[in-house]
Amino acid sequence: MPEIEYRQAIQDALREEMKRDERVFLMGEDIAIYGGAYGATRGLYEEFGEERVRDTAISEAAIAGGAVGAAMAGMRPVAEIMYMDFLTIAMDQLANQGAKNRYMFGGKTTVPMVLRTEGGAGRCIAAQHSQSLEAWFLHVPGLFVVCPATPYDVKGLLKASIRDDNPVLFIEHKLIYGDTGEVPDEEYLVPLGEAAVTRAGTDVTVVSYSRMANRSLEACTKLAEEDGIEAEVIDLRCLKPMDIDRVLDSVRKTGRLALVSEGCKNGNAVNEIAMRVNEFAFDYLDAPIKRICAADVPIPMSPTLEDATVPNVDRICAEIKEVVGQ
Amino acid sequence: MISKVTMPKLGQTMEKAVVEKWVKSEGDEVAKGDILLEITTDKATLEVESYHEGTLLKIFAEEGTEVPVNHVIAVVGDPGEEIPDDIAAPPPASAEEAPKPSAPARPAPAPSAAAPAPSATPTAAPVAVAAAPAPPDVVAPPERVFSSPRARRRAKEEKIALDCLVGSGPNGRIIERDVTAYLERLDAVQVTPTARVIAFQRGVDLLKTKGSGPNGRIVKDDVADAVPARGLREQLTPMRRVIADRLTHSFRDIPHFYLMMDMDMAAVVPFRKTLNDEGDVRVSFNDILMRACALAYEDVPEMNAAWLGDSILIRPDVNIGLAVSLDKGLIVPVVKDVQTKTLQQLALESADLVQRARSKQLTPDDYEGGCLTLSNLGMFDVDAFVPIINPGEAAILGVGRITEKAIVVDGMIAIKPMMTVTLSGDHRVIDGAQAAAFLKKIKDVLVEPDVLLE
Repeated sequence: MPEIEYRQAIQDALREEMKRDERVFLMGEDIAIYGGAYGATRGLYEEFGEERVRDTAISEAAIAGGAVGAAMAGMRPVAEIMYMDFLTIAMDQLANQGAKNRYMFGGKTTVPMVLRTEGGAGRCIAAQHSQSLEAWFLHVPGLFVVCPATPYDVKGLLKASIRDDNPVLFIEHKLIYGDTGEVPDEEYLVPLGEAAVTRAGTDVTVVSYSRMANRSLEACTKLAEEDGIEAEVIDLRCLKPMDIDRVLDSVRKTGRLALVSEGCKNGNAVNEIAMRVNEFAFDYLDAPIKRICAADVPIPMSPTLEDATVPNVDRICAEIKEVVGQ
Repeated sequence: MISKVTMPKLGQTMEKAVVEKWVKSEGDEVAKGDILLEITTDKATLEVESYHEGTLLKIFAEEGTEVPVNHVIAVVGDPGEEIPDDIAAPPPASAEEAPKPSAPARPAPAPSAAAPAPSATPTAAPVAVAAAPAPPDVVAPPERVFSSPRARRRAKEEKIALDCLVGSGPNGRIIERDVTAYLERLDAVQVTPTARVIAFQRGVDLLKTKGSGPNGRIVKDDVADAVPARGLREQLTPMRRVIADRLTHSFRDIPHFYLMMDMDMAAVVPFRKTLNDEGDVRVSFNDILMRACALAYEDVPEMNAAWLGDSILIRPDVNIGLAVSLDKGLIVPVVKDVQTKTLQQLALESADLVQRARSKQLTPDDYEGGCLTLSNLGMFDVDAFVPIINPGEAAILGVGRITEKAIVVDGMIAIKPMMTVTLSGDHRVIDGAQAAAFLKKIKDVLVEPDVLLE
């Protein structure tokens, strides 16, 4: 199986879906001629032309609103917001229009749009360009939230998102565009709402998503080698719909749960997981659930402070040990 | 200079004792006559004084261990002095076992007096006598024990009471592995399904339960009586164990019979008042009764008997025990040769014995050799009660309060101070007629108390 980069997997997914379905088109800031801030749309402008790969004005509200309108008019837009920090400007179109219209029009319309964006820290670009705001969007009924961590998943999930009739917020991570991973040549989809068990284990369940899913796996591999702790690592892949059954099954097996996220701890998306485990698997818990999240501060620009803010492998290891009682 | 401290032999029948409490610790300076430790024999708790001067270098017998007499329990010497190898720690007489009296098995003519009579302690008070080694199933004092939901669920599924588990998690939390570990140990234990369920319901620890079924299988009865579901459990003090053992023996093995008689106290009450007004010594009704008993024994010497199993011993001396209630328990010091003593002598002697009983200063000889026990609950407004014989003795007198009653005298109703006395007798050695004659004599003496002064 060939190994390709995360950004390449996105390009491939877009290309395949654009070829497959003429209604699919791309729009966003600097996605056409420049190929996207992180190169995720590189080459597509040349291949599909300016009708289907469109540079827009610097207006997130216009991008999101245009995508909602196009989707309702029968197109399948894939719009890009360069940093998810700027979703604040697109919020009304996304949360009040895109997420609500299918319901408010009694099912007479659908909004089959994908809003691609990226989040996360790690580039020392400070508090307005490093956030992980996925938790906000879980609170809006009608929106799907997808957070792929690997080239395989990002390709399969992006294709599935484009084909889904619901508006999907598709959150990539700015630090993993260069990550490589095996991706099959033949076509495949990763269904929305299906978590992946990336490591089987019996001692503790570690649930994460996006870049932290990779860090969690790295940490748990280390824990197995150095401390004999066999953690089961689950990459949620989608926060909504959420594959809570996979998590519950695992917690029923291990009795312990650690949740790893790059978002701030207060109001984090993983709190939802903790709550559902409390509701449906309380009697299986052998230890308090632990959240391993970013500190409740704006992401600092200093590399040292930035690293201290977001969970790293050492911290994940240390906190999982606490859950296990070692 | 190294000096050995040995378990003293404090009575004719004493063979071993439990180290109750060390008053001195290793490293303490001790002078001759200092109290080193308290020991509990099968009859009482006693203080042991030091015969040596120096530093308490080493304690060999820990608190709670049972040690035979003359075994080394500690050494006293100069600070830093080396303890020779040949002074080894004595092997505990039986380390596991809580102190058990050997007395009941032996039909002794001169038995002890630790525990007669109905329970004399009217209210519960904190334990004064230190604890024996914990019996294995003692429940810890009630405090919040944390357990994970998973451990609780698993324990419930496996029918294991959380009370049996010791938490190994943070804050002592019981977690699943504690349940698993317990189950693994339980695998080796044979339990009937019913016993398992009862143990679960009542929080009985099966690992600490002795099975009485075939091959040591734990059966229903083993767990059914094991633990009351509620209440605070207290460890048995050595004294309480002695009381339980001796009185169980007495009530089970001695065929008791009971005689009750009302005594007219109209003459005794002023008699005693005059006596106390004129003399320096305060004479109690118990002293008067003791003296009356001595006179009754003169008339009915067969009453002064002891069962020897294959014969009966008739004793010449009148030794009367006085049931003294303590904080928790009771003890019966014995006034010897009552027949030779005046009321004033009896009063002084009994007051001394009672005082020393309450301060735990009795020696075994002080509570041995009784022929009858006086147990008086009059001060608690008890009218009459039926006491249990103190083993080794032939009878016990249960004395009620003196209170004015309307009685019929010569066809007229009169009001008189009356007292009801109950005699419990050992029917193996005495019969109702003798006991009745004995009581009647006491009654007659009390009507004409001047004979007490003769």
